[in-house]
Amino acid sequence: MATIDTHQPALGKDDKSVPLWKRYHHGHHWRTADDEFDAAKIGIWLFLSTEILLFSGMFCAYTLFRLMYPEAIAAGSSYLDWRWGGLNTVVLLISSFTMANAIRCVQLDKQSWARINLIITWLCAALFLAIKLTFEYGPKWAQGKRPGVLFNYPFASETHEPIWWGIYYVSTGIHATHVIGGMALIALLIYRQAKGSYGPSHYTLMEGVGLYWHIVDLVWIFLFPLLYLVH
Amino acid sequence: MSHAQAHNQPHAYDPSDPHGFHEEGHHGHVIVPWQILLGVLLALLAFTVLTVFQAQFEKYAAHEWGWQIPGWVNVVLAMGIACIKGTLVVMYFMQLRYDKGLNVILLLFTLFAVWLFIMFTAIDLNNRGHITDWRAGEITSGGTGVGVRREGVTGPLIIVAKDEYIKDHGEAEYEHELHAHHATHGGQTISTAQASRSREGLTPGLFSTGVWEHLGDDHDAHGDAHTDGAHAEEADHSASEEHADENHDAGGH
Repeated sequence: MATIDTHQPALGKDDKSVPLWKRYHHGHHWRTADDEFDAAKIGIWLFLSTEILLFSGMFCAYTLFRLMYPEAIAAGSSYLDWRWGGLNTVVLLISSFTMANAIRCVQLDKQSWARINLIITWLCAALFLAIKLTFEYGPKWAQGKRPGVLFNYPFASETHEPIWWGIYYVSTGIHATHVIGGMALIALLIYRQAKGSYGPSHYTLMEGVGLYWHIVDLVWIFLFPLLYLVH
Repeated sequence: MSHAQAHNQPHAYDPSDPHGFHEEGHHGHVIVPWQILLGVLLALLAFTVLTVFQAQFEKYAAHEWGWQIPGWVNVVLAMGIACIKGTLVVMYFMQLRYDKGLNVILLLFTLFAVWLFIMFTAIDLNNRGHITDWRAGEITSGGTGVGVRREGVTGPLIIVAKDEYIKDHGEAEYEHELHAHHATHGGQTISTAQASRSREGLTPGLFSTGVWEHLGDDHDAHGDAHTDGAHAEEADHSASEEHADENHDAGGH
């Protein structure tokens, strides 16, 4: 498999004709750019492990409430339309692909392709949120399908449905918050990439944001069947 | 660390280097070919279609051929497919396949922690009542309206919502709307032989506190659903009795 040489000396620090990524030099407390990159990556993975644990709290609540009130979870799940959930899954999968592809393009110094991929990633994130708000949160909230004490849906059939809506809003809500955070980070990448900050020898931030974005996708891969399909 | 040992290390010890060792050479970063990335995306999309299909298939099989596929098959298949998809994302998009072993260990340990988290919470919930009975029911409030501080809440929230609607719009309007609403999500809210809405669940009878016990009596009594509701209730009662016996035996009381 192809690899790239990240061991390039930093060129003229103030030479404007040299792209930013070529002028970048790793921190003086690192032996090599590789050391810096690997340390950053371990840091990101540690952060991602806390993210997995955060989401696992919701998966834990889902599992246990499902064991206790299977009929309420089944009734609640039947209110959701798998077509919106499925469409959002496809949207997120595509954005994950374009994110991975953007990193690959930067590694090969194909800057305009990297930009296109990053922009598609951001647009997919926006589309995901738009679908979620317009077709799912909005109508459901208006009908009174709300979590816990806010619940006000008169046509419910199971006593514990408010708990289902609690699980639904908290898990998809925290996930959507991560999508918003991801959009901000990807926007930052688009801006910095346009300035020429990333190239074959330096793309640490892109790698980190990419990993974060894949985790957001990963969580949705599990949320989709649990909320929309399993009945 | 002695010098003799240090010389056996792959990187020579260097007293002038503040880190002690020279980095000899460096590994490159892997560039994953776009063909692999695209292949993984296509596989993920295919698995998405497959998981949606298998969820629909259960209903179809019951309706068309009268096959009764147990509910757990659906859960196991859906989660199995999700695990395959997750592994693909982690290995190729997140490049763990080409990455350092330390990151892999980090992820696996995290998943182990998730397993511990869910298992121990489940064990705790399942056994609370075995020591002191009153602890068993603690978690059941919430949806039932017990302990909910909202004006006018004197019972389960779903009944409160229903009563408020009838007060504002009248009984006839409610019946009319009820059918319209249920039609929008499959036209069926109560378990039938054709649906996988298992009344037993995996741990039946866990935390039945007896609060709002007779809730179903007046609530299920509406329109067409009435007969189904009665059946479902009977099934529920017999099922929970059976399982109560099982639990009793298993518990060794």
